[in-house]
Amino acid sequence: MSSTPWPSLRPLRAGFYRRVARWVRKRQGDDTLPLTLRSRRLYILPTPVGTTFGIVCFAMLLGSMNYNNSMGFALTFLLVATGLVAMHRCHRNLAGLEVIAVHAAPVYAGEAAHFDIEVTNTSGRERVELTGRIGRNRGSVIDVKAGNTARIRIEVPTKRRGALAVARISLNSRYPLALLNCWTWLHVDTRCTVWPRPADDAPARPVSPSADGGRAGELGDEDFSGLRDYREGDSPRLIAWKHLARSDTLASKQFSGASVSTQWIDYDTAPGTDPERRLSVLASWIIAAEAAGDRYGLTLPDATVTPARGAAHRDRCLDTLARFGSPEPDHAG
Amino acid sequence: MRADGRLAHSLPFIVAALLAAFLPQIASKPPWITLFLVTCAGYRLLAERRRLRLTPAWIRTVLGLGSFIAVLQVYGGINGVAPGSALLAVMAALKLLETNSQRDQFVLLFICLFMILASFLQGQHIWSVVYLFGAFGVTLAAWSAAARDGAPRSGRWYVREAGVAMSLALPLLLALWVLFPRVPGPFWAIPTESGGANTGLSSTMSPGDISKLSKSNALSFRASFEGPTPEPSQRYWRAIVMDRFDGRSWSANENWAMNEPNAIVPNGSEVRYTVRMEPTDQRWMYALDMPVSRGGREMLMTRFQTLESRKPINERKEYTVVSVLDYTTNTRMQRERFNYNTFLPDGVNPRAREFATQLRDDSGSVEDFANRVLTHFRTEPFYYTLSPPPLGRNSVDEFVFGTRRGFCEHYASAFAFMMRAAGVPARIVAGYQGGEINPLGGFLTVRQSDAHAWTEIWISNRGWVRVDPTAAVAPQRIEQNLDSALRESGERVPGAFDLPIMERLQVAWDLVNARWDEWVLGFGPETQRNFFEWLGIENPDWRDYIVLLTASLISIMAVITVLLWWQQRPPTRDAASRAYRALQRRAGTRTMRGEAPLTWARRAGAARPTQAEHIDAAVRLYLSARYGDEQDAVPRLRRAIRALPSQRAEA
Repeated sequence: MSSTPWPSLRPLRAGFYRRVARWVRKRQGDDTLPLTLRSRRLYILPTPVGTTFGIVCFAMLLGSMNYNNSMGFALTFLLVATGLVAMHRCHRNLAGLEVIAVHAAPVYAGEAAHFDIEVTNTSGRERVELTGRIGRNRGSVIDVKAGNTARIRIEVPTKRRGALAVARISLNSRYPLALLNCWTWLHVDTRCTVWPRPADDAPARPVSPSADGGRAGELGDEDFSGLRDYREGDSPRLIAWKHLARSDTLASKQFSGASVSTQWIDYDTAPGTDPERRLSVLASWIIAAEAAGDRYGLTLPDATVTPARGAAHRDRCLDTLARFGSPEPDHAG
Repeated sequence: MRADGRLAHSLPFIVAALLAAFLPQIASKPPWITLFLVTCAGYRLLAERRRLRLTPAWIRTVLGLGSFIAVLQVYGGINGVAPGSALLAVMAALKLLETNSQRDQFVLLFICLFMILASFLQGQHIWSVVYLFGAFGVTLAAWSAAARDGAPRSGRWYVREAGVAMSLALPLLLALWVLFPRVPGPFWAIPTESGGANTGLSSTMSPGDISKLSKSNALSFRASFEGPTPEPSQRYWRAIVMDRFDGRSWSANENWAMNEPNAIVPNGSEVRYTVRMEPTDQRWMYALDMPVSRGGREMLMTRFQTLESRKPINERKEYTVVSVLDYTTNTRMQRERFNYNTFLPDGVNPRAREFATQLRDDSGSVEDFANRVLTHFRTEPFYYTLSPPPLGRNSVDEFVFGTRRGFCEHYASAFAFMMRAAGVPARIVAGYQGGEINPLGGFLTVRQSDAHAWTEIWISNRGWVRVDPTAAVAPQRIEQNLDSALRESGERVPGAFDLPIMERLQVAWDLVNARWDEWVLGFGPETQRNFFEWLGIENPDWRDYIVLLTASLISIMAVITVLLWWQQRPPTRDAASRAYRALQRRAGTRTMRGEAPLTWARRAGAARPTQAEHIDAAVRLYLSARYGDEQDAVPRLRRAIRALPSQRAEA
């Protein structure tokens, strides 16, 4: 039996909000950053406190009329005037603000994605109590001094590997008296890559045969074997500085040797049948390999990452895991 | 539940706001309420600072029930402004104990607003303006602190926020005050307990009643005359006529059946004046002896030639009346009225009755007889005093032949009694006598201490004639005021000043109060109408009000918008930046977003190879003006810009 005797209004309300969202999107169109918040895209409505404030004003007006109390009128009018002024100041607080960028660094599934909205206050006055929302997730509240840039961070929990797509972010402020809420909707397609959550109980990484013994010609870092062109991601340790001084071109030293193994992390070797579980295991192997300083490559049924090492390479591998099987992104906001 | 320090920045402001709102009520409320509020506030503040446990729910319930019962005990109910505001203060204290969220704080702030309103319902002194802005200002600062969403800011920031909000709200307040349509109330019955309702005249008079009043310096009414203000001896303000005597006290007769046609024959010119009276919760009004026209439809002229309101006067009232100071009333009287006006209960005051009959037999006319009685008062050792000895059952006998110390009601009562004893119709008139002219404002201020009682006797060919027996004993009372009359017996009216400087201050203060009453407290439908007519709008209806109000609100808001926009404009550039922009214009190449000066110089130089060196030198001057400490870099940069030929001139 339902706990409430009344039919729930929630579906109705949700439908209404969807309709409003569609209308706003149609009205505003898609946004390209950076943009300046103009009055056309600012909306303002009373908060629950503001609604109560309005009712109190009305009650006080009735009371003052009934008792014909002059100072009661003065108090009522002062309240009304304060409310009207608050409305203007609330609107002005957002109008003219510049939204520079929205970004979100990749996270592991289950962690909170951090959407950072970068705003610049080009005006000569501080902007106060700016915050944002994605769906039900509220952001940090910040003050931005005149001429400064700051970030509003909105944390959105992630559940599944893949991507978290945000189609709509609202930016709002209740300053000055929390009587009114002024907000804008940003329609910026922002995605946060969600890597598979590394398996805590992953089996030991199988050591591929190619790592054994170190065949001739296999690259290592023991014995110098020549120079090659510099590639992005090469460690500064490898750059041939003397060569640079002579020829003005960047080159990396190449070594051969056995102590660095090249590993292939292969989807097929991951245990289990559940692809998500396998990806989790792969993720933990990638992290382990990077931590061990190995060179490693990744083989998935639909993609391959050539062996390399470094944080950028690790991220590339994890990104590939996140994209595996082209999962539908989760939506927030 | 423990306090966690989240509210540490806002709670002190909220407590300050509550105390400020409660301030004017401290004197009129039982001390335990103030103590309770302060204790709860103190504990709650300490709890926030020391992270103490908040008061458990059962203690709050017990305290709540206890204080509710205590309020019931003190006031005997919860209806009315006084018990209501006491409950509000108690509620605020209890709410403070459980406050632990932003929502709770807003509830407290709303209570705070209602406490301010409750203070006004209990009195609107001139200090109310200071109180309104003070208490509301603190409340706004507390509101800013409570509404603060981000990291807490300094206390000064919240105070400044309140200041900004109030200064922007002020013009809107004035527009709403003047233009918001004032509808005459009330809509529902209000408990009759306006301030000072119990000090004032009453419709019965026993010995000692008026002398009690005379100890009050409270304002009764003010009057402004259109012509010259009448002499003090002519300032008899009649309010109530009492013609029923039960042997001890006089009272007003409510019996309307015995009617008496009114006819006032003026023997002099008319006096026109406006009275602004304080609320009395009674129906009578004040008019100079004798009023000939009533002020408006809401007033009646009684058969006693007094003014009466159709409704009890429970708010300040303003009306204009015409009186004649020299008059003759109806010279005919019906038999039953004559009997009524000479009626005395049997057996009381036998000596006075005897004395009066004796005197009447010795005198030729009624006038002669009245004069003999007055002479008796004057020549025998009668004293005029505020503290007469108590009188027993035969009050007139005891007064005339025993104590001989009395106030106006003793003399009036004794005189009227002796007149009736000798068969002359007589009655008592209660009202005020005199008043003080404010030399700055030109109006007359009449206080409770000017309360007076006198008599009227009926003489067959003259009608009702005013006789004031007090004048025989203490002529100064009539010619000057109560204070000078009392000086003979070494008494003083409380609050009367001696020093001229104090007197002058008092006069000025009285003027300020009069203007306050007139322009602030008395501002209502009438004043508003006059204002519109002054603007040139005859017979304004509600549409005019709405149009004018909306128009002025919109224009004020527009000004506020422009003001806010002006405050937000980007900061003006400094000299170096201005020069750099000038250089860009001159060179014909603008910087791109995020482009560094030297990069720009290379690009600009490439666009105008002939001037590349010049541009490079100028940019280096800009950099040293911007980042270096050379004093003359800016002027040198300006010279360099002037030396650079503009692109158009070159082409």
